[in-house]
Amino acid sequence: MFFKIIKKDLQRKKAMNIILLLFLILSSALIGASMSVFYSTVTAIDYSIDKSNIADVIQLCNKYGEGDKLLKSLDSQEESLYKVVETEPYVIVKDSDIQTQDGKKEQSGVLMWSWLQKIPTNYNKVFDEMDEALVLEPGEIAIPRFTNERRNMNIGDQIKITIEGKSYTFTIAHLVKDIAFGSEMLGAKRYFLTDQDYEQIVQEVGASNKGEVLNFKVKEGTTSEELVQQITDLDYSVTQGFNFTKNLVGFEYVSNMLVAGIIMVVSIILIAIAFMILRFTIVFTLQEEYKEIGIMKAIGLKERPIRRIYLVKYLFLSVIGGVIGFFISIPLSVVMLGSLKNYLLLGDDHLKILLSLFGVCLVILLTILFCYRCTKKIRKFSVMVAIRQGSTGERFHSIKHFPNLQKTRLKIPVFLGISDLFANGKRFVVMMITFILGTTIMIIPINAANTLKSNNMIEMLGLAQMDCYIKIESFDGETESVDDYVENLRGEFEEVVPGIDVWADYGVTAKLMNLNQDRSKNIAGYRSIGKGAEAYSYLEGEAPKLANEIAVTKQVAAYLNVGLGDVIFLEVNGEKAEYVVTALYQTVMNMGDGFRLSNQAEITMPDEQSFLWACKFPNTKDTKDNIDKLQKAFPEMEFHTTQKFLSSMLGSFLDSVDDMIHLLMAIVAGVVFMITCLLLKMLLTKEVPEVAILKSLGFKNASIRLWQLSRILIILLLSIALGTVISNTVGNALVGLVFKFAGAEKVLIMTKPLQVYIGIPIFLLSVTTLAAVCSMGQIKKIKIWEINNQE
Amino acid sequence: METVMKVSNLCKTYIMNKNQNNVLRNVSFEVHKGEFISVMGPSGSGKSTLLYTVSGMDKMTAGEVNFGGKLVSQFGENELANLRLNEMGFVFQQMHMLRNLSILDNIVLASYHSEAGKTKEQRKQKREKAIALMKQLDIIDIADHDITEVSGGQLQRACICRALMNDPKVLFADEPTGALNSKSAKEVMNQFNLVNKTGTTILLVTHDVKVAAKSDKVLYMEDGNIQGAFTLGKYTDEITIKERERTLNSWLMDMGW
Repeated sequence: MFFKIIKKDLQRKKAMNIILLLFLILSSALIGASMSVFYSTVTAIDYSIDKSNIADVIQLCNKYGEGDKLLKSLDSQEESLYKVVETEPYVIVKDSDIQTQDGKKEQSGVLMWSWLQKIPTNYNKVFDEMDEALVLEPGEIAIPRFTNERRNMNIGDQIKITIEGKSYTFTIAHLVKDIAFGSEMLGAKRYFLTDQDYEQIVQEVGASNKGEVLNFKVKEGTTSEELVQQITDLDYSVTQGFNFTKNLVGFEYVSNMLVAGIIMVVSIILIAIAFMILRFTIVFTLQEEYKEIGIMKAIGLKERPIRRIYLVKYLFLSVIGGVIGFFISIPLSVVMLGSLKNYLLLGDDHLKILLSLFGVCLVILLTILFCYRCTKKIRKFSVMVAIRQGSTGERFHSIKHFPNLQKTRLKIPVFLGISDLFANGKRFVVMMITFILGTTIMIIPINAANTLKSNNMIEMLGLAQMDCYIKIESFDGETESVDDYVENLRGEFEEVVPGIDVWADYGVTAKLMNLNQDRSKNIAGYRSIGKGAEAYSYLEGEAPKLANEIAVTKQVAAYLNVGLGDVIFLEVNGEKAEYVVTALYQTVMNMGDGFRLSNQAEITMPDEQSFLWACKFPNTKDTKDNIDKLQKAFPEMEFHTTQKFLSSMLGSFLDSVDDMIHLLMAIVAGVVFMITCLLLKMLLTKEVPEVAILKSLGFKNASIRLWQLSRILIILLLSIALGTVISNTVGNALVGLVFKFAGAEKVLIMTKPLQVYIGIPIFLLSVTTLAAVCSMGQIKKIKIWEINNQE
Repeated sequence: METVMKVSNLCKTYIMNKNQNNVLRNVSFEVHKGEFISVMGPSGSGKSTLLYTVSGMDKMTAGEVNFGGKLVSQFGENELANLRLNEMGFVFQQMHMLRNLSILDNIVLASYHSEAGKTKEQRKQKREKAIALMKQLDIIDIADHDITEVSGGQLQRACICRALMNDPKVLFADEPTGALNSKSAKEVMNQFNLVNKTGTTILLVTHDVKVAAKSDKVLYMEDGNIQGAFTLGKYTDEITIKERERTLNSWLMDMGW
């Protein structure tokens, strides 16, 4: 008998049950997939680091011979902190000198630092597409996945590498998984050759294009950070290069974890919504079936078997939803792990599937427990209350008649919609929460993405506002001074774009120490050429103007325990000088560390400098045209928009955020659509008498639809307003925290009013209206004589 | 006498589980202006279906209903809604009203929705009319009450007020006293007579001889067709009611009631 009742119920409330089932499928699939993705991401990082045997500290020396000097200096210390060190030589190659046979393909636009080396055998090992140790034949080359994605170079392509005017041709044999240097957050990329091919090239290359990697393993009881500090504290410091620890390698993949984490949060929100719907559906069903429950109680059925009917139904729905969700979660997690799989080794798959299964079982169990709790109400129904359809005949509160029909100028259907909201607000709570959550989970990442892409980000990077980033590889610092070069550039660019401002940010790695010399750190900083330091933003103090003035980030100031007006030491190329801290600023580059010198600073720069060339046009509106004009006039340089520059700085993180926004929009659209359909269908089922009354009074179907739609749209608009306020306050604070984690003290969240205040409301309004239109077909079918079939 | 509604060869057939159920079979009759007609008959004879079909609430299978010179069968959904809003009034057995609104608001709702109730001034006039009707039907005291705070009889009278708000040509009533006790039923019927006296045509379906005895004419239905019509003449006062009931009862027994 139970199954007959359940079967009938499933058939009778087809639309409601289908929507509930869809929610259960979606929740199960997402929770299953996100658990699996989260687990894979976390374990893949550790597994890959382990398998690759990443060195505890990796020191890059771009100047040949500096590695030896550093080692000698380290060895002269009282206590050496490293156990083993291995030196790996490499050949430096300019990004533009790596080309496909058919000429230049799409350029990365990124300031890249690439080199050729042998396949590593001990530390920082690399793997092929099948996660096997990399093996090459003579004439073959393995390229990083990054190059494949950014420059569209594929397996089988011939590439030509030019060093010191001599060209070498190789065939791309593998897209390599380079755990240590593969992350897009790292601007250094390795290309691998056979020992034989490498030896041939290295013999023909001069010292200026050679470098070396020092791979350290620390002694037991010593941390990588202690060794890094020891290297920093040495009298000798590497002029061109940087170091990083094994721990930092894991951090490079944090963006992948962030995306997996967000998907998990969204899944949890979806489950919460699914449970709210479940509760609403159960309460609604119970109210609708008061009479049946009363009859069942009247003929002697106890509470338990009555509850069992409902529990069996929801068990049936949740098991079906869970099973389908589980099968969807498997390909879904593969898609979600797609980009991660290109960069990391994922290891064993079995536990991942078990975790998905566990997630799905958890959803089923929670659904049943939740249903059990919701059906407690049945115990409260006495036979009479149930037969009288929930009414005891007593009422202690009068209905508030608001708004007042006698005073309203509204259209009657709209008035009825508002009146419903005031009289039966509880019915719309689930919908309101869903709309608020939907708005919030769209606006927060959209604001975050817009901030990342905006000019605010330039400021947060500690740079001056620019319209165009220039990639110049032809500058030779040995034959021409950079100041003269910038002046010449300005003159040449003026002829194409009059009024243009051109400058260079001149990158230098230096050791900063406080006056007591008890705190020191190797930090990358800038001095600008062609632009005063006052053109940059500072959080506190005045821009450095004199030769001995410096601005440091708040983070560096805190580390060195210095403030405005304090003196610090700066050491470059073994030359130490005193500087006065005149300003504090922020940057999200280099984990929040940085310094800026005045353009009067007399500092001996290393032979090979890294520059960030930029320009600003007199009229920002003409940016695109001006970039095109400059590109045409100076084909040997590359001119890119600020957005392209930011995208290259932030690597795949921006792409991940964009993908996530699209995924979230799709999920929100689906959820909002289903919630609107479900709620409208349920309300309409309950309101058949009201619809019939209005029809009998001469209300057209369109007017009745307007009544139904108006209250949904009012709820939606209220929710959007609330969601926007929450996103722009709580959400922005959350985004600010993430930026703060990266080193930004003051975050200027970029809100695009058109997108946030117009675009999102229109998007939600369209989805809701479409859902409403799809669910209101029933209105036409309701006959006036159905008045007498109700109650 | 002016014909308000002319029904010719009206048929209504329901298909249920592949079985054809002919509820109305070639029903024909006329309703004249100011008439008060009751439709009686055993359960399942097609009385309510007749009321819903002639008023355009349900679609007819065949035949013709001419309402004030317009063929109801040719009307679309919107035209039928206009007809109900401006030219018809309905009273049902169950006193259905919107729960969120007060009695007065329920009464004026449809009139505010009509073309003649859009402006502030028009709405004011409609409200005054509603108050006048409520006074006439002796329910002015419950104007601001919730629909759950009043008796069934009061609620049904409120439904009559609502049906009269737009001055309908015909007032359709489907067993309006069916859910009321005898005292309330009597009060409600007195109001129907009062309304009828002001010139409103009424077509009413009932099982109750006491109710039908207050109408001008009684149609007797059986097996989906009108078997006969009995003219009682205008009901004038309470003194004649017993005699009207007796005569009607006698005719009904002849008809097989």
